[in-house]
Amino acid sequence: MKKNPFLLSSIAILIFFVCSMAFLFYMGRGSRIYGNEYDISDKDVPVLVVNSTTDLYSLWKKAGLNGRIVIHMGRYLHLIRLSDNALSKLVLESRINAGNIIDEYERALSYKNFLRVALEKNLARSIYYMLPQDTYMERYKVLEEGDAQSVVLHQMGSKTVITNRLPPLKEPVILNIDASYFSSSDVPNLVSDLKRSGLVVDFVTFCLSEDNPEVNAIERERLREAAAFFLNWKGGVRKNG
Amino acid sequence: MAEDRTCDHFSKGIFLITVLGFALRSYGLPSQPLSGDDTAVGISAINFIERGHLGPTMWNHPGLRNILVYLSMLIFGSGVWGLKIVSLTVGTLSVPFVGLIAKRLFNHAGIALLAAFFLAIDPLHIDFSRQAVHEVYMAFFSLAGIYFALRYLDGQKPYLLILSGISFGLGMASKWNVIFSLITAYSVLLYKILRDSGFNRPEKSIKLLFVTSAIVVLPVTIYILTFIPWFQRGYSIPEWIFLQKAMLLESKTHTGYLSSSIEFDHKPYLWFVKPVAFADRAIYGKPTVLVGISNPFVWLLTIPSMIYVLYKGIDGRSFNHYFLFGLFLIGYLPFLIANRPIWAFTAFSILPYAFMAVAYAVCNATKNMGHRKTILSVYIFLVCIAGIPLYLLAVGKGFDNSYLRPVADIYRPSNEVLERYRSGSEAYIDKPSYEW
Repeated sequence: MKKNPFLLSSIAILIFFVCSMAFLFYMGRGSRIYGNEYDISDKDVPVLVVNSTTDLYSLWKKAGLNGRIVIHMGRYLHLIRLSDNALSKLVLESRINAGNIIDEYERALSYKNFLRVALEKNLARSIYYMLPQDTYMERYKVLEEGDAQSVVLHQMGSKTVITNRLPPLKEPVILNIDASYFSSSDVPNLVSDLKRSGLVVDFVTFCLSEDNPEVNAIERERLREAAAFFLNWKGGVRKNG
Repeated sequence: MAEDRTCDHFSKGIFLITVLGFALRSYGLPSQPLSGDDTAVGISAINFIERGHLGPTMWNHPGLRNILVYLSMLIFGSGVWGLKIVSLTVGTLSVPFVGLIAKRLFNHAGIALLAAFFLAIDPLHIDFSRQAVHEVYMAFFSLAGIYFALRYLDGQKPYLLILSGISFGLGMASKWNVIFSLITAYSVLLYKILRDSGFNRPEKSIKLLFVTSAIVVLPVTIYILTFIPWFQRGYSIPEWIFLQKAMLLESKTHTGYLSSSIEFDHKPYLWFVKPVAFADRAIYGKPTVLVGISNPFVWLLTIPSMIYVLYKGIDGRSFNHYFLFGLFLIGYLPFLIANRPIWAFTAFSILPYAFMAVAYAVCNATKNMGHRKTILSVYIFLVCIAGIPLYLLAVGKGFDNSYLRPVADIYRPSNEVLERYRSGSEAYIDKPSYEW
């Protein structure tokens, strides 16, 4: 049978397409770094209480996370951006590279931006925010996108979702509960919601946010109660930081 | 023999015009201060390749610019050459492609050389060929895609259409506007196959499969592959689709990065009706304003020339005329109906076709006139005379000339705004804050 160059070329292009999709699929999956996985209702899931947001960031970094989905329960987004001037300076001084960019972000690390820095360092590739109900309804008046159940933002390619309920994710996630969540929340209900969520996690952190002046002593006390409730359900608490 | 001589003249002519284009685009480039966009492109290139992040600038556009600028920064450093050599190169190489396509469509060296000359000296195109941003990429890759598609129609060699598909893929990976040229090329190729009575059914099917593979599947594959650094952050194909939707939303609603941008010409229906301009402020070093203003002796002839091309196409039942008209119309219409500001540099996606039409109209309409050479010489002289001050403004020399200073002053930021640029607190368009 005579070889038809058009047919052969078509087949080659289609094979190229399929191989490219497979390559991208496996590369993306392969870039994520997971730890040991636990169902959230498992009594052995590691639970840590962390003093501040910057300590939390250090913990994630030390755990070697990469390309993960983070679920953050709290009142704030912690996404304030670095000024473009700080990065422009690097270009003008011919010092622009990935390491220096991350250094600039980490130098500016605070409660205002620790989740931004986590995105920039790619500890997280996506963040799901679970806001307390009253905060979500208050903010929703300002935000224009999304439906009544969630607001989806795209943060220059890093997907973030703002919602008032736990997302039904199948992929193992990193879960953090911030003291700011407890402005008005019901601790037992929160724990039972988590128990029912079916989430798979590496570990669960409770962050006292001592570096955040917007968080008060009552909220931190409620966080400690939640951690204890969780602990009674799950096992011992290990204090960190 | 006569044909060989004509080809020789054309080759020499296109070479010289390309050299002119390069000279105009590179003159004084090392001493031109960097703009905020230039540095932002450098940061974006590093962000994308080394970290898989989009932005800080123009994150809603695909990432080929980031890839190419990163490679050039590896070779030339993060100074002027590293940031700008890609734009300089593709801006220059667009010139011979205009000539080659015009020659192929009209089989007339004079028309082809004139069209290439228009692009070589166009102030707005020169302005953006001297910047790190990717606006001149769309013209280059569209032209390359169209050129190889036309060559394929002539010779039916598969590799030519594959080259066309690669060009379109790279073009779409720089800016989505290139898809309009791709749609036009694909439509023409399909039409040619379906109308060709020389093929039997199986042969037609194979040809259709090949054209679709080369002009649709291949560009899409190349486009997705340019997101490899982003995928390396751990993302999946469904998340990539979400990203495309986010980019589309931003593109549909984008109103500029700076509050002052809205003061520049941003209505596409005026591009070929009056002189239009865009200005950039270079703030790192001696404050400089780069003002790109369209050459009225060329741009303002576009609409009548396109109508003339269409008329001649109908009159002569000429595919080539229809093709040129189609490239222009299909590329222009989406901007006319868009519901957001679109600045003058976006016209680069259709400007080459506009210039081909103007060159054709000028040469063809004067074909039977007495003193034709004089008329053409006067016209080209007017184009060049208008081009001189426009060139000086485009390369940031407006303030150095007492006649041009009032024009440059119109676009100069106030000292207060300059200070805000330097301190990083220049007012951005007020969008709801999502960063609390």
